[in-house]
Amino acid sequence: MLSRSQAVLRALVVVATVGACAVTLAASLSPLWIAAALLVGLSVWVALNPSSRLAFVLVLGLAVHWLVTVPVPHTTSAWLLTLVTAVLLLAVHLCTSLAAALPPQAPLPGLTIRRWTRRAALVVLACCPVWAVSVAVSRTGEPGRGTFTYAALAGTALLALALWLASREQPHPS
Amino acid sequence: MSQSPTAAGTSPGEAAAAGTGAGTAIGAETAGGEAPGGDKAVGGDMAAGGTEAVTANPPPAGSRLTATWRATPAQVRATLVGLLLLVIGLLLRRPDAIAFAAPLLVIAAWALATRPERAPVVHAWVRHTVLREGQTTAWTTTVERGPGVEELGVSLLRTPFVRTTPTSRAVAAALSPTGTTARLDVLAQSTRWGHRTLGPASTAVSGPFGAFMWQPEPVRSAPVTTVPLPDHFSARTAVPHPDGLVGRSRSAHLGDGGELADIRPFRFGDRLRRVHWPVSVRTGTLHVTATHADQDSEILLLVDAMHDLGADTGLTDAGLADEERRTGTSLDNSVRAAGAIAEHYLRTGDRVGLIVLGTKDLPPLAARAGNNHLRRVLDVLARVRPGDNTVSDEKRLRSQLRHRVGAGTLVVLLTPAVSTDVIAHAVSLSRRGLSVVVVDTLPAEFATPDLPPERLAELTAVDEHAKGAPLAWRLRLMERERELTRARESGVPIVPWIGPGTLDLVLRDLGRRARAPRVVSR
Repeated sequence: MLSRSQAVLRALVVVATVGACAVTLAASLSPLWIAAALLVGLSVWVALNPSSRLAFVLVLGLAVHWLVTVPVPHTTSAWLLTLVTAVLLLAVHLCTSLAAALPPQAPLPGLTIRRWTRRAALVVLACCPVWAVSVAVSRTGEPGRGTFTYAALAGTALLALALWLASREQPHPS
Repeated sequence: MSQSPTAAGTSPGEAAAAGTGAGTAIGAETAGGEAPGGDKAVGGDMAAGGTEAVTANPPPAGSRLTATWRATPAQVRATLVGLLLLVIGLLLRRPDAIAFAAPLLVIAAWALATRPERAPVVHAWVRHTVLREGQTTAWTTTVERGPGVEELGVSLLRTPFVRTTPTSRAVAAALSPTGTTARLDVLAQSTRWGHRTLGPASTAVSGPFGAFMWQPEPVRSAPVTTVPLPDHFSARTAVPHPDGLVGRSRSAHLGDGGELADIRPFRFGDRLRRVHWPVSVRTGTLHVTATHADQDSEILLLVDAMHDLGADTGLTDAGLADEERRTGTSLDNSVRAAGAIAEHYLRTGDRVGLIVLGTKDLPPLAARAGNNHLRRVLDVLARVRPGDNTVSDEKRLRSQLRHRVGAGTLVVLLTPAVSTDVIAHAVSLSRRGLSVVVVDTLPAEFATPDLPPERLAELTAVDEHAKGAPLAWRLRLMERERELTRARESGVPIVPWIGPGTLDLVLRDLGRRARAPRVVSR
């Protein structure tokens, strides 16, 4: 039996998924209704089993759904929809993480809710510069340069390596 | 995982039972129903549940849990999806993919930067190892605040005959930045006598964004012994053959005591303070008062555990004083009645022995007196388990029925009267000249041949859907009635358990019969 707060939290997973799919369908030129339906169905499963690894498929699926069906945004409204989708993706991820972190029958402590909400807002704020650069780059329409692409890929590889090494580091026993 | 190898119980069975079953046994605080810090088990209704419900007490040794921090699927998801979207964005020149990746990568990096570096100090223990029926203890978990330790969750699996607060058996707490220790309590009220092992309980401590989790193996509590809550019982009639040394039961013999027996002429050796002056003056010769000796008697309780008939419901609603709310099986009735009789006679200074028929690993308890012995009796009663009706049980029963009984002992047999061997044993004891009383503990609602199918299903080894079940039960009742009639005709009184006064009438009859001449087979 789920506590009320956990039920609300898991409902948010479905609502955020539905919202992301709706925004994607609204922005796409050739909507993939089947993909949206599959993603919503998957979100229900993830809401029931938030610690399931299918949550990975859900978040990735929502992003891929957007990338496949929506062209590169150039206008302000298109970017607005993009950022809304990014925030909804973030919501799906955070709600799933929080639902899996505590027992489903236990009510969520108020301090936890406030702490996670505050941090989510900070994450959004921290992403604003990245989003601003992305919007600016897409509007300038600079032609691609192989050197930059390879450098960016190398940087991504370095970032991945750093994350992997940091994750592997074992904490002190006590 | 640190473990507490011993259960701080009071009986050998407790230590043997510790650590059995799934999970790992954890330490318990005390054996006496009272914690070192002085917090007693809560009786009756549960007072509170959730966090900070029990007064602060240091955790006992051996209660610390150990595990290692592990990355959760949430951290893996944030990292992999973020990196994948970043690569897609770079290769396909999709800035929107980078916009999607950014929050996830920020979360992954944040969680990594603030990941917990040390294992948290987490203790879990059950606060009492001995309870009475209806009393409440608490499963307590504490965690000390450390870097990266933010949330704590505890979840217990259901334990039969244990009512928990909160009813979901799960609690969660967030460690505040200013606090030092978080404490979670799941209150557990034991509603039936016997051994209860709380848990297994899952404990989880998580860090920022739920990215890293510290989750030890599920742990079980040390066995919590729930001693039966004796029914109300009192007897105004003395036992028939008090023949001990010192007690409060009126003996048939003359001697030092408080109850007047006779006024007789003075004999050499009589004490002067016993001279009855009014009669001496009137008759002109010295007369003294003779009194009955006050002696203790021996009570032998035989609890028939071969069968357990009825539904195991435990104490229902919290009103323990409300007799109507108490339901139980025949064994429940036997155990609670035995506890009540033992408590009554031990309080009056008599000696009480106990033999549980049909239960293995429960040696007979020799007759002793005193409050400590009452504790022993209740502890043995808490370990009663019904027999399985196997051949070995029958053999064990026959060997248990070859027990020694001292002359003058009052034998009280508590039985649902389903086993013919037990009733025959009562008859044989009576023929040896002992005072025997059979207390019928079969719940009254089962002593009818027209049981509805759902009630039939509550009887041991009776299938609800079996067509012959009603007929079988009817035949069993007829056999039972025949055996009881034979026992009555042999002079064994049989009374249903009604609490106070159950034994008064039959003890009075037995006392009269004891004074009458009779033939006894030795």
